[in-house]
Amino acid sequence: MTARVSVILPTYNRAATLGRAIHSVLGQTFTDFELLVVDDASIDGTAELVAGISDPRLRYLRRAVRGGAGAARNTGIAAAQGSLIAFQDSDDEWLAYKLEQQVQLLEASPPEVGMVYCRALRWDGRTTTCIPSPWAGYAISGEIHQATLRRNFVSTQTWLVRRECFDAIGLLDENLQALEDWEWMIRCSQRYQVGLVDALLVMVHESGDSLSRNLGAYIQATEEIIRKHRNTLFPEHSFNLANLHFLLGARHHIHGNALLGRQTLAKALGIYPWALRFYLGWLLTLCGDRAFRRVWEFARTSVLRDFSLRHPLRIKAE
Amino acid sequence: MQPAPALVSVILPAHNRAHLLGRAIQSVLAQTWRALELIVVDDASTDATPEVLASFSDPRLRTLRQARNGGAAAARNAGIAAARGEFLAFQDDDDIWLIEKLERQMRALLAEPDDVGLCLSGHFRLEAQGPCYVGGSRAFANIEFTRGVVGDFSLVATPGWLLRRRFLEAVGPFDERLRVWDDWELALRLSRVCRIVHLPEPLYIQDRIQGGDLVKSDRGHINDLKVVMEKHGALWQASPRIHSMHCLTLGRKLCMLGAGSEGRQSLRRAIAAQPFNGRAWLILLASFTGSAVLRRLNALARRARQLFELFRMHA
Repeated sequence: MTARVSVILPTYNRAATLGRAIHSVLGQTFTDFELLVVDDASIDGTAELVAGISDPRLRYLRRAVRGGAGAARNTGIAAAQGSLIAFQDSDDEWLAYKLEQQVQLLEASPPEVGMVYCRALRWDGRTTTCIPSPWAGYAISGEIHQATLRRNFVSTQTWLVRRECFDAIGLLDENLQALEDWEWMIRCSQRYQVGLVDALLVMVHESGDSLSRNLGAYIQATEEIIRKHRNTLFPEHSFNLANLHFLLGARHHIHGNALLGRQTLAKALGIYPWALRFYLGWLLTLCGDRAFRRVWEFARTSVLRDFSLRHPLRIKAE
Repeated sequence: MQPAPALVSVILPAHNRAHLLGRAIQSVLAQTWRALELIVVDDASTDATPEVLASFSDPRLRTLRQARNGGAAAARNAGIAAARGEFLAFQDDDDIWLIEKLERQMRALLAEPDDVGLCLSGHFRLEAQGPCYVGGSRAFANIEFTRGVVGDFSLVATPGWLLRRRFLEAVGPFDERLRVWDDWELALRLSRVCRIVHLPEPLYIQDRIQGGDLVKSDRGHINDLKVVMEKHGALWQASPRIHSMHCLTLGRKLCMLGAGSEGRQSLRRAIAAQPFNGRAWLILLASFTGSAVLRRLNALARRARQLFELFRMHA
């Protein structure tokens, strides 16, 4: 008998935290699943760690060549037997009712709803934020395509996807070394509705240096997304395209490439000159790197959190 | 052959939170530290708590039922009396432990010399305004139990505890007269016989949205401050500043709940101990405007403090 849900956990050299991630899946109250750990050619004893955990629902797949998280997830999807597919990351922790509440919602939803997600608590070692933000002023369930074009607020650890979705819109883009989940969500939300279990069910532990280490990959991925979708998804929504340039420019700037950053921000203004924050961002580039980074981080994590609360936060009880 | 891992007794007082209890229990049973027993003390609940308890079949779960509702401290003491472990931990009926909580704390405690009796941890707090992190070495360094309730009180809340039982036996159980600060008062006594360490990382989630009740806990605070002042007052008399601070807290809370004359008496004591305590004068003045205004001012001050914290965090 095949399991109803396949949980795919890609990992690369994270033996230190992988155990927690695996145990948080095996401890779920919903039990009808298989867990596929896709080892993306780790060299740190990941195989031994997984071998030390005995649970009949656990399967270990090893990729011979490292291909990145997107490729590893695709390997998992190809091997998955369940009709619903969920994803876990090697750093992260699911709370016990995650699958149960999501399976319940997805199975009760009409077929137009291709996937459901849930809220996550992100912890970077210093501060904590909730995604999607509890004070988000955009659509976070149902037709979320417009919101998705602007922001990346549905991360893979929170997905539960019908298998047909991958057949209909394709797998994750393996060319991207970052943001591959966002790129897939852009395609998915265009075709399907997206459901939300409005409860905090996933803990995302970000290692402190991951953002700066991955900044290059982020920049490359943002450029790739612009290249791939500028003629298909963005033409009638010039704000969204400009916004993407805005984000790209800010990342260039934070990465230490001030001139390119300012140029890209100017490009955003050229595409869509009616957004105040593009001007503010451009002006801010003149204040120096430190100021820019600080204001950017502050705006990203905590803009006016007290004043525009629209979705009060909760952890759903049973 | 490795020695068997030490048994941790987890004590969970439950009172009329059947809708939240399941996830609290689940988060204990799912711990990666498997050697535990969970003792749920049903504090005379009148809701579906017994049914929730019956729905779990894990042999490590035991339940006790109190005949009368006696408060969390009494329930914890009943649980301690039934506990078999050398180590004690406490869960609340509205909190969620992250999966490695016990394992990390046990490792930390076992790595220390055995005069360390208590290990505390950081946590996440969920409030309507969003989540926040409570903990960090600086915050913990500010705790000085003998000085009283200073700083963010939930730094010493029982869900963050891992305790060596023999130190508890040396100082006696929770004071059952206390309703909110029983954990801090016990930590005060423990701090005289053993060392207390902390892990800064957040290991559990405190849910103030679906759990917690501010007005009720304000009444509890008043009761508790009075009891603690009587019991440990001598500790504070030596320092007019600390004495004044506690009188001020008591007076402020009394005035906010409408007990103006008693509250002002306490505020006057605060001023007598420290005549230049500006806050005490301010609250004394404001208390004549009535409790509703005072509550609003208090909420504003709290909001301002939160924003200040936020800015400081990013500066």
